[in-house]
Formats: sequence, structure tokens, C-alpha cells
Amino acid sequence: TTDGRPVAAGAGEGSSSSSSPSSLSSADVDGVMVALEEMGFMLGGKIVERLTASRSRLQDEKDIVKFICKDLWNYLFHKQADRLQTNRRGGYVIQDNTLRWLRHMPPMPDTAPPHKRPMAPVSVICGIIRGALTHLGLSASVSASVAEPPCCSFSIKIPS
Amino acid sequence: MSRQHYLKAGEVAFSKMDKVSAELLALTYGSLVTQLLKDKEEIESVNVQLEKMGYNIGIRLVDEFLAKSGIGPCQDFRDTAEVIAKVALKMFLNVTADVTGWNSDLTACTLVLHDNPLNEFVELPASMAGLKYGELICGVIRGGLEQVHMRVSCTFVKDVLKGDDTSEIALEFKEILKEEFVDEDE
Repeated sequence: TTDGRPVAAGAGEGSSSSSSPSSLSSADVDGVMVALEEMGFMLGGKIVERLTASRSRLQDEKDIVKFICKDLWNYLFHKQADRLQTNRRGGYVIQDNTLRWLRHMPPMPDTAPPHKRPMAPVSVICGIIRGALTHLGLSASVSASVAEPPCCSFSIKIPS
Repeated sequence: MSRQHYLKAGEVAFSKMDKVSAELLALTYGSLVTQLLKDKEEIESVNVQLEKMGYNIGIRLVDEFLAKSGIGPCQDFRDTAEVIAKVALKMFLNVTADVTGWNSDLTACTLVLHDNPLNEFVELPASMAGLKYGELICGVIRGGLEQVHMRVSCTFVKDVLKGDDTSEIALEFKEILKEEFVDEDE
């Protein structure tokens, strides 16, 4: 798309822009997050392909989500996710209390404005989870909330 | 200081670093380049962007390098090149390079990379012949050296991904940057 280009220009500075987005408008930031999520999606697919090369097919939805919490988490962060919950509406919530990629973030109060929150790494992880699920046969939407870094939870919604 | 000394310093520095799976790094970098290729129309602008991203990493990474490597000031540019090849590359990528091909003024040389972890799983199709896949590394070197007041140019000249025998980075010294003090109040 044509508006893909300015997004990429922002993504280039992305290594720093999550902490100093002052020069970017909020539409730019949104675009960068979409690009990062898309990048994560590709990455998630590739990782799952490697992790599942020598194992039998995962059939059950629960097994797939467990696989994300254990195997994928181990691959990405050298640990398993701390908590997996199902909510009643057929979704899942994965919680990690010490997310490795947010370890060096300063603590922040709940009132911190959204643009100060560490959206960049979290967008990538959302993309990775969504990509992994898709390649395991589940199309889902994934969103994240960072209450207090490095604690972060990801909710997976599977349309029935 | 001797090459052996730097090799050892590189080992020590590497052992102190937090590790990330090389496979994960390679896949992530691959996704990044793919995304850039999608977003940009021209391959040349992808090269420029990769270099720029590397530059932004380099100007920050040099702090970590100086803090953790225990390397003192370099005597001359030859020394600098050896430190990059044997200590910095080892510390951050777990590879070393050979420094060869010095010109007579000792301002330009070639870093021969034995191995490039970013290249794992990568095959470049013929239509991507203009892509400098690992250009980010060159940006990191340029950015890092700029923070220690050295302006250099740095780019891939040979790449195993394009069928060359080795991966080689050309490194050329341009000038020593002078510190300029600007008083913003005036």
C-alpha cells in the first residue's frame, strides 16, 4: 500500500522510538505498531515451523495454547509463561510476570499515558503469538496489556 | 596490543553477556528485512534503511561495549580495526573477523567475516542481487565509531549470500571528529 512507506520510515527509527515518540504523530505510531505486529506474525510462523518439525500434529485447541505457553515461550524467553487462564467466552489469557523483553523498562504508574507504554516489543510478541496460532491451525486475535512492566498479559480471542 | 590479547578479551566479554538464541536472532532479523522489502519499493532504499537502523543501534551499543569489554583507548586505526574484529564482533555476535588488505596509509582495510549468524536460513533470490542483507552490521560499526569521534565508511563488498567465498566488510577511516560545544542558551 502507499501509506506503507512512511510507516517503514518510522519503523527504522523504531529501536528508539518507543521511548521518544515525540516527533511522531499518534497515527504514525499506530502504523509502526501495525508493521511490527505484521513482522511478528511472519516470525511466529517461522518459529513454529522449526519447533514442530519433529513432532506430531497438535489437534486440540488447548494443546495448541499450551504449546504457546511452554515451547514457544521457552524458545523466546528461556522460561515458560507464568499463568494460563481461560475466560468464559472461549478465550485465553497468558500472563508473564517477568517478561524478558521488558526487563529494562522503568516502572510506571497506571496513569502513564498510552504512548509512554512499551508498545513496540509487546506488538511484536502479539504478532508472534498470532502467527504461531495461525500456523498451528487456529485463527485468533491477540491483544496485550502491560500493567506494570515487566509484567504483561496477552489475551487470545478465538472466534467460534 | 597483540591479537592474542584481543581474542582473549573477546572471549571474556562474550562470557559476560546475556545470551539470546542465535536462531531467534536470525529469524527476527529475517522478518525485519522482509518487512522492509515489503514497505519500500526499491532495494537500494532498504540498504539505506538497514544501515541507518544499525547506526542508531551503534551509537547506543558503544556505551555497553566500553562499559563491559574492559578495552582501553586504541593506539591507532589498526588497533581500532582489530578491536572491532576480535572483541566487539565476538561480544555481540559470537564471531570474529580477520583484518586484512590494509592500504599503504593504513586508513582502509577489509574485515573478513568467518561466519555471520544473521545469514542462517537465508537464501537470496536472483532478483535481490542488490540487497545488502547484513548491512545493519556496517551501520552499527559506523555509529559506534562516530561516538568515539571517528568518522568511517563501512559497507559489505563481498557476501556469501551472493555466491562469494567469504563475507567481507570494507572499512575506511575518514576523519577524526572535533568536539563542538554549542551553548543553547545564547
